[in-house]
Amino acid sequence: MGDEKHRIVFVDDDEDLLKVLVNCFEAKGFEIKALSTGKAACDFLMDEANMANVDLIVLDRMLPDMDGVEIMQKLKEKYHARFPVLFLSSLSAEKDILQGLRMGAIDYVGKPFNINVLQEKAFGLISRKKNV
Amino acid sequence: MYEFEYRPLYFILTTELIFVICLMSFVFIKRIFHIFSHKKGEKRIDALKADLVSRLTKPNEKIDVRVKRGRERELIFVLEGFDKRFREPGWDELKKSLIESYVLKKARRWVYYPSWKKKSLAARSFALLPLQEDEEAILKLLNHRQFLIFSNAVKAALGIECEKALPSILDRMGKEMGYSFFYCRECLRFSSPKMLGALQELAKNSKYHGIVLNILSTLTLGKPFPGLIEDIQSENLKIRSDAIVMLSHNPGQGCIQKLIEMTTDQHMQIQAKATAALGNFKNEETVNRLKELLCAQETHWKVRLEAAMALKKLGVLETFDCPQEGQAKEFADYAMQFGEEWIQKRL
Repeated sequence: MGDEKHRIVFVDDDEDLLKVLVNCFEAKGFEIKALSTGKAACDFLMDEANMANVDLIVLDRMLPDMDGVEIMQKLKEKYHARFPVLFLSSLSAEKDILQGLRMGAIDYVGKPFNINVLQEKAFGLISRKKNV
Repeated sequence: MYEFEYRPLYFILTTELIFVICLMSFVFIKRIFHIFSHKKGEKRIDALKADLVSRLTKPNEKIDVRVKRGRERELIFVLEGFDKRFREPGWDELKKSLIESYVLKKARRWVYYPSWKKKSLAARSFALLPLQEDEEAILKLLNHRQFLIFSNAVKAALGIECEKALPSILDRMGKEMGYSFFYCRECLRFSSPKMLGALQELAKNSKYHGIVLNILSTLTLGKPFPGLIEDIQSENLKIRSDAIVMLSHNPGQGCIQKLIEMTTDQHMQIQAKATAALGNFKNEETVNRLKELLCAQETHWKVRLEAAMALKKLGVLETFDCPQEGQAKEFADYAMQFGEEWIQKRL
């Protein structure tokens, strides 16, 4: 992935899952920011200073205080698809996937998922962003 | 004289008072003990989760997962939580080793315990790690009347692709039309190709035909469903409806003609189902028929609504020049406004 450190923001209320993802991605050389509520995520993501080096945002749909789709909407309004967003959710029915993709997410991964597959998808999306 | 008469009464009242105080003390102490043990249990669960996270993220390091003797329930609880998150070889191996080390032997004994709680733990263990050698135990748990045990036994049976379990599952579905039915239906719909094939074979048996038709109706199958042509002409409305849904997902030669014919059926429910099914096929014939159904005076409102939604789904409604007033216009406007939501919910 090169010498520079890529930054990924994870938003998920499942703290055990966040620990696993943070450890796995940090072991691959990523810088990770983990947030577990919708409000914390909005406060962080809406601040342009925080978003300076962000390469990918991984969002859960079912957060305790809001739907991940609302956060996606706010990101779209502020940054106009500048940051690739990947949904990672246990809501994996066809209509939920279609809704997420229509909102502008680059990809949608349903739970249960394979960590290696998620990592490869993340690498691919970040590489694509860098090339563009 | 009065003292002598009231002495037994004093004795009874005092004894009762002591009894009530002892009972309340017992309840209070039990509550305190429960809160204390619950907090200890939470700490053990957190420690277990931390160990599992370490094992998953550092597979090359030797990290022991601490499970106390007699705490299998906590291990099963944590494993179930992690199982919902991950699907990969590393996790599967870890899960297998933990269950085999701490739970499996006990689970095989719990199946024969009289207590439903032990049977439930056994069923949950088999659902987490279904093994062929536990087939007999799983089939025994499938016959249990408690849904908590039955549901996990279904998962375990489908995990080992046990065809012998299918008749028990279908019998249960036939008796219980509530959540149990929908749970089993979804499990069977998402089961392996081998189990779906076995279901199709069972459909040849008239006892299970209707239920199997309902289960498989929304799937696109690799081979023709036995008896589908007869089902389309069945007198049973439920079977006819399911047959229409199956036909729309498994179209064969002449299927569009059949669906168009069914839009003129004497039963409104069949007309509505056939109209909705036409929304899966975009060609001149189906579009013309849907437009006719939308605009005709004698069409039932449910059928008209399905026609409008089908035209919206086919992307034809926007360019359709529908009448300027009447029900056709109302339903066309409704479909334009709410069609997307309607189609999403139907998916």
